[in-house]
Amino acid sequence: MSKTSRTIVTMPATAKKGEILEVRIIVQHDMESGFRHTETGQRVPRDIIRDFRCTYNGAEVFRVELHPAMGANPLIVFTTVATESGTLEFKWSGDNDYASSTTSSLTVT
Amino acid sequence: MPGSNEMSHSDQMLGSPTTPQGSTMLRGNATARLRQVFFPCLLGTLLSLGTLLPFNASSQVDPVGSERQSSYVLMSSDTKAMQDDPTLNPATFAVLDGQVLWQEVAGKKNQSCSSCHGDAAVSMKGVAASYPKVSATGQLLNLEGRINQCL
Amino acid sequence: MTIDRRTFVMGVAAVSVLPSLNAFATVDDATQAVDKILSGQPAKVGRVTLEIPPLVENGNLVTMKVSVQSPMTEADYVRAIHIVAEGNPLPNVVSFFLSPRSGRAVITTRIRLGDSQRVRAIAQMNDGSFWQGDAATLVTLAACTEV
Repeated sequence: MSKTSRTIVTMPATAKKGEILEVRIIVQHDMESGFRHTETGQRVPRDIIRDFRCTYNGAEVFRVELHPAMGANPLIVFTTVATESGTLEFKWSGDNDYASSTTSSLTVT
Repeated sequence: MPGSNEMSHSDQMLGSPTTPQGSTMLRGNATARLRQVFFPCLLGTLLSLGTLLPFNASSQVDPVGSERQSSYVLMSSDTKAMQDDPTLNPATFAVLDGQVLWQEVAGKKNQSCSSCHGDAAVSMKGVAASYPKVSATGQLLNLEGRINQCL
Repeated sequence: MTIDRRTFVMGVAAVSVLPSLNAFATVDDATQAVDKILSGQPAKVGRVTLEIPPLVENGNLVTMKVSVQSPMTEADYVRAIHIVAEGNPLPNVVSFFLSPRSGRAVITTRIRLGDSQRVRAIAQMNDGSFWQGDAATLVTLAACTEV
């Protein structure tokens, strides 16, 4: 089990207005599916990230509902249109009050 | 055949896969041990020195020889694409965790790895791939065992 | 070596009460999940492409790419993409919710597959219509139940 949960966001820092940007985001999380068993036969309880939201200057542009079938250390590669300069915020939330937030600045010319 | 639906997220090859390099570290240790310890350890020392000589490619010492290859070539194209690009590779987190642990104080001597070994990128280059190996005392050590010896 | 009858019967009894670890969803469970998404609407085949490697070495991290043909304008865009697996313990895998600000309806992620199976992608457009696509794959090492 990792003690930390980092997020790595990869996206361009600058873009032209109207350009479609590719955003890659990967978060460190074991995504315990709830189907595994310990050596003594006890079920390891589910502990997953359930929700991912991307907001662009406060407006939600992309959302994901995650289920146990999402792989560990979830990676999502998606696109968004560069409309204006500002901040993109990426929020993860899940079981056991897991919450994580990362931001990335974008300059649009 | 695997990979016919391959998705090449990024085809940038970020350096060649790690190849095991000659471990000059062990040679230094072996010299120190020769001075300190005597007969029973001489055999073990000779054995470990023998494995170090790069031109000693006799089949008894180095059975793989020129056929040695990185497991990288056996991976499917998706796995290769994941490994090549650190923005896609979940192992990047393990590397970042390791960088934090490198600075952390641990063990009986209350030291961190960096206090003796400095910058890991320089001092530890290629070292992990040389384990497990036989130490100067004739013990078979894996990387964890070697770290335990340090602590 | 002969086993006496008592040992044999006890052995069979022990095996039969083992917890059913492989209680995988059947195709029916997946169909039910899809029906729930569709709520009675038909799902036309087309416009949705689901890319999964045809042979998967490790079901724990299967790269999956879904793309839907759509101009992604205010008038015509993909509202949601749902991924349903026919051979996993639970049929729902992931749901993406897009907007005209997405630019393209192309998403890549990594999922878990527990068995060789067909995976389905259902896309809902802003006008409420549904389109679907699927991909079949062979999984060598199952996720979820193999530690």
